[in-house]
Amino acid sequence: MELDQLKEMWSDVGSKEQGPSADELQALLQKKSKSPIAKMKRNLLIELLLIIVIYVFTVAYYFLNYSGGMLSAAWMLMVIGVFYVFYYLRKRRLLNQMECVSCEIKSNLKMQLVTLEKYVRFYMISGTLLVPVVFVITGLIVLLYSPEAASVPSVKTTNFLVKSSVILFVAAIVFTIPIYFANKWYVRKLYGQHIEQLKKIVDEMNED
Amino acid sequence: MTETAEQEFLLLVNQNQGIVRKVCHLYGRNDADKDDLYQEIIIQLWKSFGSFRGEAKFSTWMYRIALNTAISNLRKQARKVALSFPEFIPIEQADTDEEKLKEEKLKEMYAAISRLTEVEKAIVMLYLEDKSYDEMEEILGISSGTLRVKMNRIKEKLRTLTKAQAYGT
Repeated sequence: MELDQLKEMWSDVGSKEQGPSADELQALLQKKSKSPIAKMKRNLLIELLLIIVIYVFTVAYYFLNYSGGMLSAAWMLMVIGVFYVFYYLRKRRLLNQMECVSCEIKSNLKMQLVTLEKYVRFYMISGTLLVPVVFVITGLIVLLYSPEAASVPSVKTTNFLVKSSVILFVAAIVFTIPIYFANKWYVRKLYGQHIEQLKKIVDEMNED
Repeated sequence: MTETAEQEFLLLVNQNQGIVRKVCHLYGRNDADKDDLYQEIIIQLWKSFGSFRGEAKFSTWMYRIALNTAISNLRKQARKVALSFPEFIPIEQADTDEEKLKEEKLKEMYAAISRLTEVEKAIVMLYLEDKSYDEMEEILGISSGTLRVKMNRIKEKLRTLTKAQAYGT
């Protein structure tokens, strides 16, 4: 059997099937896409909503229960929140750029691969960098403003603060290393297989 | 989008439903998978309909979206399941030995196609649809020269696969 023989019968494929009615087709138009990119967009939106809820409660908690220097924690959260908005917008823009289903298949898949790799890199870098930044700032706030630390006289000396800052920085770096690997593993688990498959397809399309 | 656009879209989809069905037959591994893919293709077509400017033929545009959706959905491929025997083979007419043999060979060919890669399936589908290499290039974005080479390789691969199936390997 040759492919050309199948060609003769190909036009009849599915012709005996009862297709969806006009109403069923219309109903399909209201459904949500289950494509990987649509799911990523939905997950990102859920992440945004969660962050808003957590941040509002945490910031309110600090404003209601602390005063003076400890309020810096609330301000720090708000600054991080502003950065999160940029982070969200960047991820959202990358997701919007990720697909062009009406484009040629090769260019669409290539674009999907390149943008997904950018997305993953951005996710990795920002997720990893956030850890030492928050670690050091929180440590400094606790050290400088917490009521417990204020009761210890040596805390306010320059020598102690310099030493503590160095320890905090070193601890932040040490703490970030496993976070980096954990992040890498998680991102790979989430997108690794998809990227590998995309690469395979794009390579195949590029072959002469 | 307006109601008129929706009606226009439904009419065009109805006229070209065969394209979506064939893509689902080639890429869906079972009935549930085919239904999911069908739904996803319709949703993607509808989402993109607003940007359809008529620069390409509607069918070309539809092939692009249907194949892009099928290929980039990249559903988990833990097991390669052979495609179900298509309904287009007239089983009730397979009375004579010759017809039965032909039916058997067709089954083998269909099983062999199911073992091709996603890209090869797209090329085979467009070839079976009798698309010219230029049209295939417009849909896939692979140059017509490369497509000819790929098509020859695919034919050879299918010959090998059908032979292997015949010998039960």
